Amino acid sequence: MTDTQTIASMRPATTQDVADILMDAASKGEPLVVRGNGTRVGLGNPVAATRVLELGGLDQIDFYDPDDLVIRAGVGATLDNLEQVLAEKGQYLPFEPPRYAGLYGTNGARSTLGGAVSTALSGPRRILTGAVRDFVLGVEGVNGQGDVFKAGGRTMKNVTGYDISKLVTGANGTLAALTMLTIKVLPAPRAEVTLVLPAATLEEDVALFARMRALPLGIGGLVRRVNAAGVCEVLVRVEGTVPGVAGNQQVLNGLLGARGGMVVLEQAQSHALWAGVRELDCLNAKPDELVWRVNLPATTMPTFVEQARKAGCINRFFVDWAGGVVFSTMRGVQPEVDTLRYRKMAEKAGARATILRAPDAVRAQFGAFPPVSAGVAALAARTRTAFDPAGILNPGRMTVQA
Amino acid sequence: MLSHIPQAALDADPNVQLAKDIIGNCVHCGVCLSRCPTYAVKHEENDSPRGRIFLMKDMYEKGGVPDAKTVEHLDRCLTCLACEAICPSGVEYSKLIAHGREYVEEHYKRPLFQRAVRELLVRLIPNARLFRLAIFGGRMGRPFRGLFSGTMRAMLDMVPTTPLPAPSPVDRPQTFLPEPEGGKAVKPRKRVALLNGCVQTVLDTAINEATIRLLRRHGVEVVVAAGSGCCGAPAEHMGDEAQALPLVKANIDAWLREADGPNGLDAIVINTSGCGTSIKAYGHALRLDPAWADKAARVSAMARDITEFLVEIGLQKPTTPTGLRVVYHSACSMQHGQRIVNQPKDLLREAGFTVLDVPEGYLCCGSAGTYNLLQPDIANELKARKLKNIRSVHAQIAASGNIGCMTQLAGEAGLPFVHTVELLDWATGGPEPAAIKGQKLAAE
Amino acid sequence: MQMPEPSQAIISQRDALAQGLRQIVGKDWVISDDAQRRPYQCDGITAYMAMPLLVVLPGCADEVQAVLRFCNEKGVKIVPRGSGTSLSGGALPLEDGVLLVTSRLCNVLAVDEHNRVARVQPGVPNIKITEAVSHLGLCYMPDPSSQLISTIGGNVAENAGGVHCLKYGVTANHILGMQAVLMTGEMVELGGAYLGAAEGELDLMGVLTGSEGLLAVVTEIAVRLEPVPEVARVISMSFPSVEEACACVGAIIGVGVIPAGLEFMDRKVLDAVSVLIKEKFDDRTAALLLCELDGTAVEVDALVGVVSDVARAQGAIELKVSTTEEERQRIWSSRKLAFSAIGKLCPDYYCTDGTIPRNKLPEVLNKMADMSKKYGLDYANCFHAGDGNLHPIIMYDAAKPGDLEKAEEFGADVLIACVDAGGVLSGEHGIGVEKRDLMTHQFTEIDLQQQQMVKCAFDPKDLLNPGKMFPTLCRCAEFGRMHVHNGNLRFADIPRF
Repeated sequence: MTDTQTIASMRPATTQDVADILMDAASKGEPLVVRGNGTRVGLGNPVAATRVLELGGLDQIDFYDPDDLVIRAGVGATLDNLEQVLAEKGQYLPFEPPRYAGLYGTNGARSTLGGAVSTALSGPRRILTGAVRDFVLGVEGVNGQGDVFKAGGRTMKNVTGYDISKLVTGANGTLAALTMLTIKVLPAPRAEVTLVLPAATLEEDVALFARMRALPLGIGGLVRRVNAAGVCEVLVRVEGTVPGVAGNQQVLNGLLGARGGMVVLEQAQSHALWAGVRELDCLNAKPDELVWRVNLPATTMPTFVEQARKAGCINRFFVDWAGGVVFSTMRGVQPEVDTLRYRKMAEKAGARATILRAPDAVRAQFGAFPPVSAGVAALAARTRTAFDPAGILNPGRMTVQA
Repeated sequence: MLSHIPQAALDADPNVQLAKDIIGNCVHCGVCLSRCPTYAVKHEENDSPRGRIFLMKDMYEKGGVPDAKTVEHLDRCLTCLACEAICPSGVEYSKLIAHGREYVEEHYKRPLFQRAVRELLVRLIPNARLFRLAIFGGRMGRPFRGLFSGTMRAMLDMVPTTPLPAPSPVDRPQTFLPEPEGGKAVKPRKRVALLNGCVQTVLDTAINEATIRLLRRHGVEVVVAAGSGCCGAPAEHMGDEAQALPLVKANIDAWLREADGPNGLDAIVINTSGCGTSIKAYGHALRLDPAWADKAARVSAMARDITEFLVEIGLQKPTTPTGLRVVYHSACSMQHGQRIVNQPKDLLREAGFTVLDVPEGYLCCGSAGTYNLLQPDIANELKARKLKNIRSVHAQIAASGNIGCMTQLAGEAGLPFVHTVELLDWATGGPEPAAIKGQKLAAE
Repeated sequence: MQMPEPSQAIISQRDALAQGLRQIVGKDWVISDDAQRRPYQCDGITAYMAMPLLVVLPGCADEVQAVLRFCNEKGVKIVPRGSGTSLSGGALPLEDGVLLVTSRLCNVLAVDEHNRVARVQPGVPNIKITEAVSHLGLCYMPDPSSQLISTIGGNVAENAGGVHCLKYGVTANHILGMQAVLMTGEMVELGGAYLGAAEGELDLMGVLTGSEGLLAVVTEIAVRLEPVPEVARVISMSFPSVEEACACVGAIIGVGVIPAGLEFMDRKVLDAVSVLIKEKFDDRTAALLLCELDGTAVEVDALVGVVSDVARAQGAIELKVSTTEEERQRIWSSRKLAFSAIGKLCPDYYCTDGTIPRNKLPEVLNKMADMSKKYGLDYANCFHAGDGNLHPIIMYDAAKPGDLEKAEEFGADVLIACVDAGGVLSGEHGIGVEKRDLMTHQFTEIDLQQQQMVKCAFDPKDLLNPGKMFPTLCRCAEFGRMHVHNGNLRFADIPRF
């Protein structure tokens, strides 16, 4: 059995219920799939378990203090709901969490905060504002023994005990069933425009990204992609105050003018465009294709992409994070062979290649996440045991089990 | 920082009480480590100001004979005072280390060889005639330098290879009237005493000559007071108060004779910042001596570095536009000891030079009085670092306001090294400095 | 303040251990002499001192690894230390422990301009990173006030903040990768030298940052570099009351401005500072806020307008805006000199680091006034208001018997008030030994046990910096075996220090 084929789910409404369920499971040594509403169900390795612990019911907002830039909510609170509540006060979730509902064929409106934190997926704004981990101030959760614990707090600065909030972020539910999260939010930029330019070669575009990023211009998105009309283009998102954006746009005009053909998208258009970028729409992944994310130094990206395309490991792709991440599709013809080759190429380039979508068998065999060294793997395993000695929380979600 | 120095020790010696008060101001924040040259070389707490404060605290707490390790670490201090300049709590490290060294000299018996060398230096340097003789002896010994190590070798290495200038007539006691204008005598705007110094009158007579020309051109009457000489710093650096004090008192007497004479004195001008720091501290050094305290304080109050004095009276417009790129090396005694940071650079700019700073400019060059002779390893490492930093800015000339640094660096800087006053003198109508004349300067 | 009982058995092996360590790092870099060990007795807190068993200064990562392996085999504790500037006693030595000093590991190894990363050794002082990249128009953003000398390794251990972390984040937000050695001598590489190098891993780097030297010794760090902001301007705002100044903090953030820094100084601090800067502050001023805004010139001009309006609406009686860099430096000098100025008012002072939600500032500041009366000790306030990070300066005289204890109790009361207001014990100084015994006030037994279990995963023998952060020692073997549920105190028999 795997989590796409589980039979029974439990949907507790309180932290205490979660604790009771986990204590019970721990005593029986029964593994559980831990998830929010299951909208990113294909991410990570399949988990061998018959029961699902769904935390989507813990969806209350505990408090929201706009003057203190902090919100505390149950892990089941949907991102849509939170973003709406924040928008009413002119604030937002700076890490721009993607839902990937299109990728997995699920309902993105049900994507939860807990899922965003557990998968640690950060959107295009990562290059300016930071990653998910940078905004998780405090957590409450239940460990694999059914103990409710908390860590962190609600203040921006905090060195009181280990930063377990960071540890559980991106742990994909393997350390604890999180129940409540305290998140740092920021004022949303008052103005936003996107400059669209024709793309040049990958090398030239990466060099252009570096030139732009060397200046403090509030650039919250640098992408190179193929648009719906099949044209390869560069997207530059500029954010800030109204006069600030206008000023920075002028500086950029000077820097980019030589290329010609620049189109400027104002606020609403820009907004819609980046929502699509965040969800990898431009990848246009076919149902039988695998989807990959490769993190790497921007400077090595062009060579890597070129080689991978030649080798047939990349079918379509686009570049985000100013060249630091490549999203790509892979033909599903011989996925095992290509996966192995692509991973090897990534390893050689010092890159980290994550499978965002692939058949269960491929993820089970190769692991959705790139391998780590034996030492790190052993330390990670000991750390998991520190939270979940019986190994009942999403066992194997992040590591390939022998 | 709290110390537990026995009450008897505090009562017995006011300097120990002072040390306790200074230690009490230190909060152990560690900022001084960032500026300390020995810490930059050794990376070790015991070779940092904070560490040495701790060592001195222990030394006074225990009393009696200091242990050899404590002495070793106190000896390694360059007394550059970069720590004191940066200290956010205002810890007067200079006073603490000075008295700490006196305590060491009083209570600690150095190994025979160390004692002999220190004795030699204390006697040699302040005496121009002996110093000349020693250099002559050093020349003879130079071929055998391979046979020596440590201080002896450092001393041989320090011996100039170029011929020494002849003693300059300006270094004899006398009075220089302001330069006449249009053949007519000028009424002096100011009257100052010039400290001609000890080492300077032997190694580089051009500095005093340039200073006197420059001052006369600015309408200043300059006195070389009879009886003034070495400022006493070389002995004081080694904690040898007994050797230093007679020199200090001789200077005070000589200058106050002038000050209290019919023509009075507006300032005591010093063109070697190491000496300047020492003279500005006369007041502190003699504060406990009722017969001398007031007199010493008067002298300290009148002391001015030549650049301070020139800023006060205003520099003339340059007549020789050079436009050269000058890298200015600020001596520790200048920037940390006397906190004179901008005046020399401002003057050079006014005189038409482009002034560049030395990266890591706060670090000592390793010269530090007699330090390069007593601690050659650390001194050489600092020297190499300073030279690298000086070369890195690609200047055409290097300037400094302290003969000690110039002696340490000039030979290997790869560019002419001159005193700030030589450049100011040149730009306002004096001769081109000898070190530059006929040299092919680096291109723009 | 109690520390774990030192092991006489280990202390008696001092000479043999020194010899073994000399074979690893060379004879000059093991300090065993009494006089030379003494200056290492304390870090930035002089109230706590202990003589280290030995001081070891390794010269490379391999030597760090060998030292740890050696000590692990011999069962000898290790206390890691950078420049010794901790304000929580994090680098307080143990009498039966080796003090491992990273000051010789002080090289910037590589600067990657295009990917905006620098790889540095842990002993590099924070400011040296910026100095090494400033010619590229880049900088390393976190700027703790100790940045001239505090090392990046120490910054990682304490997750250091600084004036500019309100806008730019703390150390953890700027670390992309690290190499670390576990107590067993095992070396791990986490993340890497580019943004996203740690994707898909358990965030072990995240938990190592701020772990106060209890989990591993970091031997190399990859830090993120940022472009230097084009302009920075500071607004000095005086208020007739502390309450109005506090309200203004929330109001500025409420209108959507995140200043680069937002600092608070009370009247006592201003009076102390005015002596040093020879400038008088308006008599009506009860509190002053310094608000720094940075970015492009156009953007900053706009923000200066917005913040000025907010300040006036909140009752500011005087606003001064810097128009040149010199003016900016001059306005900031009052804040920079604050602690030394206070230092001149009293023989000693004690400063803690509690952090609270911004809107609780008036409440907690009022409580402090009451505590001051209770303990009969004067205090002053100068802190990072934008982060709610309090630094109450409690004045006392260490030479007066009982004064230190009173100051410590006063400090503890402030911290408890911070926790009760929804805040935390430490914003940037760390728990160390100083706040260790207050951890139970913020965390339950279970919370603390979960943290100690993490410690066990990294250091099962509890040899790395024990006695810090937790009020009890770890007993990893027992954690693994026993399990009693919910709320029951599991190890009631473990001695507290």
